[in-house]
Amino acid sequence: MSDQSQFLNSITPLVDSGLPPQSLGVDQTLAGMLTLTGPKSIQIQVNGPQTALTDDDIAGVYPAPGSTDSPDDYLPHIALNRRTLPWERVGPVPNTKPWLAVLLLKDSELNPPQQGMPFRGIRHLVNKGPAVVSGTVATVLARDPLGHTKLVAKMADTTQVNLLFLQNGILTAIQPKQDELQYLCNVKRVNSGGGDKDCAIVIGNRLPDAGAAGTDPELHTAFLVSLEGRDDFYDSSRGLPANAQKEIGLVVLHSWSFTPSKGGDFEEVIRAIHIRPNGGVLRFGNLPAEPAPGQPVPLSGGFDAVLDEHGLFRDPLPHTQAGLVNYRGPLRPFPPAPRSLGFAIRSAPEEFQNAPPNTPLDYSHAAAFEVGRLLALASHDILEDLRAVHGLIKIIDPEVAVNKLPVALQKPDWVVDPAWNEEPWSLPAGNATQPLIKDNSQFVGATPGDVTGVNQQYQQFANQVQNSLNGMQSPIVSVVSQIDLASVTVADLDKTFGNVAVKGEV
Amino acid sequence: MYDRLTTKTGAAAVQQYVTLFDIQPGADGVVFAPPDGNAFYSDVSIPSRLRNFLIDLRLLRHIPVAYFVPDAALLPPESIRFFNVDPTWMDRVVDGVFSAANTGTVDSMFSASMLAMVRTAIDSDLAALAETITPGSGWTPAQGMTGMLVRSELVRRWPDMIVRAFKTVVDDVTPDPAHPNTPPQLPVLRLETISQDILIAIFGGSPATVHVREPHVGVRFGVEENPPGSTTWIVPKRDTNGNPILKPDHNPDNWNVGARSSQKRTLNITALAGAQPAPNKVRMVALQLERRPYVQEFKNNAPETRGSVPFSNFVNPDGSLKVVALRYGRTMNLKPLQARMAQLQQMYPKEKP
Repeated sequence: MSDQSQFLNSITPLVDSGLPPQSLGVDQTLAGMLTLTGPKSIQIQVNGPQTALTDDDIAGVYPAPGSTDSPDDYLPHIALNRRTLPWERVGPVPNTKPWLAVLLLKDSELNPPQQGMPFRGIRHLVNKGPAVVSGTVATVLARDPLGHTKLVAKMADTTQVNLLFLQNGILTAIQPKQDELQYLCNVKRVNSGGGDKDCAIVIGNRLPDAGAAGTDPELHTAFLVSLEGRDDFYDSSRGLPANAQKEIGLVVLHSWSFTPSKGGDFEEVIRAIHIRPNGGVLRFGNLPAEPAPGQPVPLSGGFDAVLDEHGLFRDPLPHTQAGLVNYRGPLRPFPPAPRSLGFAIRSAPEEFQNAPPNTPLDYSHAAAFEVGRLLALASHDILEDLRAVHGLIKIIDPEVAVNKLPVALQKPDWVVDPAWNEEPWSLPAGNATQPLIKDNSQFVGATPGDVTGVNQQYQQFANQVQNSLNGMQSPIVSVVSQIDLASVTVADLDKTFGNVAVKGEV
Repeated sequence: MYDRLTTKTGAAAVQQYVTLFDIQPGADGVVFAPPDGNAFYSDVSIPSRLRNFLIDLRLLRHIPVAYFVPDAALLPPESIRFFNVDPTWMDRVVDGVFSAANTGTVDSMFSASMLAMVRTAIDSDLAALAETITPGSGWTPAQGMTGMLVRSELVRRWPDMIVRAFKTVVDDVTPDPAHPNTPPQLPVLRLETISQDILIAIFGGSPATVHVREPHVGVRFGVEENPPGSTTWIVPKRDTNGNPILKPDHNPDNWNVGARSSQKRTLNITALAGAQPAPNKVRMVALQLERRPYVQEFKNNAPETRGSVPFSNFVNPDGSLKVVALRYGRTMNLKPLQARMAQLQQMYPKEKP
């Protein structure tokens, strides 16, 4: 939500500042149960700034003090944090408010040039000079007796004040009219989402004067003056020609100086840029002029240009290098070529030395490299930091330990809880442990392994072997001849065993 | 036992090594780009001071103006120029910075790997900076950077001017803190004055609309000279809500603000108040006198030809000046430009007005 603001006519307090204590009657009872025993009145007095403002009282001033750029068609004004301040006292007209006004004066009006000595140049405000003085109210008596009588009616003669003494002739020419005072004070209320914030605003009725062309603008000073009870401010005697050189003394609550500008406001200045001889709003490289008749448009928009579409100078810059030399900076009229993936790690002047003749030498990136190098070399801190640059070695991922437990049974604090780490299946139960799993009969390892089925399987295999063997026929055994080793011959053995003699010889 | 290195095996090794690089034509000729993957390093450690320095360089800080505006004709007085930033040029600057620390033989493979990591790190920092400036913009350096140079008394008088960039063509939008990114904005990565009258703005990406806004200086009150240079003043008529009041032909309507004294430039506030409705005459006077910030829009769908118009276009056949309308029925004061034009024509008689 953006700031919301509005203007209010005024915020007028019920009790004026500076009045004697006011009595407020209090008479409360509650059906005879409570009876007021104290005094039946309280004294109220409102004290507000009368002769000076502190920094806390001021929300801001315009133009800024010391500024030189405010257009001369902007009115000076002051914003006050005390939102009721302009309406806390009675002004120059009896029973009317406000009592504050902003008077704008040129330096030449504050310090009129002496006869034969024309005003020259700009003088800064002299706060101890004859027009603006610091002193007591009694100081006014000598220079403005009429005003002094009005001032002492509101404050003591010894009150320290800052005073503006102004010739009646100037005063009557610049002062706001009686009925205008009310229109020059208002309240601005701003709501930025955090509640309302009010400030009172007092606007000047006079525009600054930046002077004629060719002359330096004068220093201007805006004065926030008190008109409390100053009905002499509009006294007709001040307008008489005979009194034009006489002065009025006014109490100054705040003042600030600035020099107006004869230039236009923001809108006028920025919109004038596109009108020649101004430089125009163009693509980088274009000139605010058309190409010569018959010449093509180098870049775009129908304008002549300094650069070509690649950002290179159409007419090479002056240089001492032999041959054709090109340069282009980082700013380009059109989107540049895709970013190079390469890196430059050193200067390579030989690429220019060995270039074929009539080849335009592009020093652009070489210049950029050297700029970077020189910027680094120019800074001791950067050089120190460059030595501290280093790569971070990749860390090899360690082997991941596999938890044998099912995920559902793992606890988040497995690692940090030693008890869990040491006895994952159990919970602490006093000095002992209690099994975590109530029925662990179904888990492998909870009871001895049952190998009955394996034995049965082996028995089946054995039975099959036995049956196979039983089903086999008995081998046919031939008649065995008894051999008498004492009388056996080779021929006999050869008949019995067949060729045994031959095999025996091998 | 390793095989001996021979001409044949050496050539094969080089061939294999070269295949690791990405070879492509580039602005510098043939570019050997190191492989993306880095077998040894996961990141680079850069001191924060150096890191900030490198980010600044990427945003054209520290670089002498003459290197990016090498000719005065590229930025004449009272001009605005829009540009694209060449990322390769900026990378070369960063390369140059790191070359300052190389002593002795430079290990090309190591340097290239290190520079690759540095480039990635700075890119990441720039993207983070953009996110900080304009949350949700999603900008990364891969989308490129553009910018604007302003050389004008605007910079001297309003150095705190507000610049905003939008992805799409939009009209003036009152910033809404609750929805700061609506309509979608591009990050303004840099907005600084680089001399008394030169301002640079660098955008993340390529904006379709750029707004240059008069800075907020609180409330201001004033009048408009009509015609310019005169001592007759006007203010735009506003209704009780502060909205402009238009005439039946939809042109802005104005109050004539009389002068108590034209010489002393004092206003006749009573006359202005007399025209306001009771009982709110005071606040209505304030509303009429209030001057609001101006926003200048630059849109990429506007014809480029409007960027610079000959002064002769503003001169009537009888030699009088045409009227250039401003807000609220005001007109532009062309006399200073006319005087400068005459001065230039004396100096350069062949110049086309």
